[in-house]
Amino acid sequence: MDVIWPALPAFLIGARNTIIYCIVAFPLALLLGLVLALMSGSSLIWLRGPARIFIEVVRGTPIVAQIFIIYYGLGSLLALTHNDFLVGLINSWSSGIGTLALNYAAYEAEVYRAGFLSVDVGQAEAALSLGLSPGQSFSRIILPQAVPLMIPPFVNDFIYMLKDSAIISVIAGSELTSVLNFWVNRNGSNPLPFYLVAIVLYLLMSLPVSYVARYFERRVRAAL
Amino acid sequence: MAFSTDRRTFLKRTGEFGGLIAAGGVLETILAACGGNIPTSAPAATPGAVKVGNKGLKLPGFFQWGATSDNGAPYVYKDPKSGELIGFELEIATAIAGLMSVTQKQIETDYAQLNQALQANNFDAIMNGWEITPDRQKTEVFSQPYYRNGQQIVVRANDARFAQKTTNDTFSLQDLEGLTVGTGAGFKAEDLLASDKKIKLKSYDPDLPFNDLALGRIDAVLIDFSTVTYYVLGDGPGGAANKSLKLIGKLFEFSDYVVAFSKKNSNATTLQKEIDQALTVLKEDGTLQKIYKKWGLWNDVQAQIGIK
Repeated sequence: MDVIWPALPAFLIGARNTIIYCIVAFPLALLLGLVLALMSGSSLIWLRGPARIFIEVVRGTPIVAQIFIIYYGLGSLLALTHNDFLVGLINSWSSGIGTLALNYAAYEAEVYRAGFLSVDVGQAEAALSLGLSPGQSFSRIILPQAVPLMIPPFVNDFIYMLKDSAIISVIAGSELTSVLNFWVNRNGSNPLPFYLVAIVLYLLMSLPVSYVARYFERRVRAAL
Repeated sequence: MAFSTDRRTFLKRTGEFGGLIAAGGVLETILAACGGNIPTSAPAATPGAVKVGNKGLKLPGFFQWGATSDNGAPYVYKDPKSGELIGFELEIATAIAGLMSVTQKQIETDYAQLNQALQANNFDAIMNGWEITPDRQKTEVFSQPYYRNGQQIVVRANDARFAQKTTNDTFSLQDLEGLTVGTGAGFKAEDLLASDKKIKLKSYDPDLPFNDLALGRIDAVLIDFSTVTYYVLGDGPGGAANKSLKLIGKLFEFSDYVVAFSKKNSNATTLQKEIDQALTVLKEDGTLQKIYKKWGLWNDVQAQIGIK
C-alpha cells in the first residue's frame, strides 16, 4: 500500500480538477437546459424546431465525438484567423467545460420537461383565471411545484458528470481518471491500490452531493 | 388482467423458454469459437534456413504476442486502405515465427493491460515497443533488445525560436524547460517530462499531440523516434509527411525495445532462449535492417545492439 503515497498529491489535484470541471459545467447545463426546455415547449416553430434538433442530436451522439468537434474542429477554424487570443480560447479547460455543459443541457432539458408535465394542469388554469400573466404563472406557480420532482434526476446527472469528466483526457486535460491511467501505466505489476484510491476519491466526491440534495428536497417539499 | 395457468403448463413453458436460452447461448459460443482470429501468413521457412526451437510456446503452432493495434502505428496497426494488419513489429513477429516454423498471431490487448494479460497467460509474450523498467522487472523476464529507440523533439517548422536548429544539434531535457511539451500517455517521454517540474506536460490519450503542435497549442512534442517517423516523416503505409513540423536535435535518452515473458510462466526460460536465438539470426542476416529501412526506422545506433 505504500506505493500510493508518492501518487497521492497527483490524485488529489486530479480530484480537484474533476470537481472544478463539474461545478462550473453543471450550473451552465442547468441554465441552458431550462432555456432549451422553454424553447422546445414554445408554440413558435422557429424556437421549438432548433431546440428539439439540438436536444436530439446532442443526446444521440457520443460525447467523445462532441469534444473532438469542439476542440479540434472549432480549434482548426479559429486557427485560420491566426489570432493568438482566439486560438487560446479553445483550450482543454474551456472545451471540456463547454462540451460537458452543452451535452448535459440536452439531458436536463428533458428533465425539466418531465417536471413541468408533472404539475397538475389545473394549477396553470387556476393561475390564468386569477389573472396572473403566463410569465408569472410559470415562475411562481408551476416552476416551484416542479422543482421537488426534478432534484433527484439532477443529482443523478451531476454524479454522472463526475465520472463523465474523464472525457477530458482525450484532449489532454488532467483530471482524476487521467491521473489514474498515468499511475496504472507505470505500475502494471500492481495497479490495484491505485484503482482503490480512485474509487474512494470518486465516492468522497459524490456522497456529499446526494446528502445535500436530499436535505434540499425535504426543505423544498416542506415549503410547499 | 388475470393470468391463470396451472402448474403443469407453467413448468412446461418455463422449461421451453429456458431451453431456448440455453440453445441460443451454446450456439453463440460455438459460432464465436469458430469465427475467432484467423492467423495471417503461412510459415515461410526457406529450405536450408536456420531452425529455432518452438517448445516454449503456449499453443503449439502459434507464436502469440500481445500488442495494441488501436492507434498503434507504426508498431502494429490496421492499414487504412486494406484494413489488414501491418506494422514493423508484425513483420518482426512474422520473421521470428518463420524461423520457429509456426504462425504468428497478434492478440489484441489494451496497452495499459498488457502486463496483467501476460500474467494471466493470455499470450506467450509482449512485443509492443516494450522497454525494461524497474516495475516490469518485478514480474517479467526479457529477451535481448531488437531495436534501440530514442526520444525525438518535434517543433513547428515556422517557430522562430527554433529557426536555426536542426537535427544535428544536441538537445536534452533541460532545453525544454519553460515550454509546454506534449506526448502520448504511457510513453517513456511522459515519465521523462513529468520528472522535470519546469516543463509543462500535456499527455494525449489516445490520439497523439502532433495535431495540437501544428495548431499552436503546445510548443513541442517529445516522443519515440518510431512514432515520429510515421506521423511526421510519413514513412510506412498510411503515414503522411507533416510539412508544418520539423525535427530538431539528435536522439537522446536511448532505451531498447525487448520482448517480455512472464516470470510465472514455466516455459519462460525456454521461450526466452528460443526468441533470443531467433533475434540473433535476424540481426546477423540483415532481416531486421531491411525491415527498419523499409519503415524509416534505421539509424546508426542500431549497430550498438548488434544489428548488422
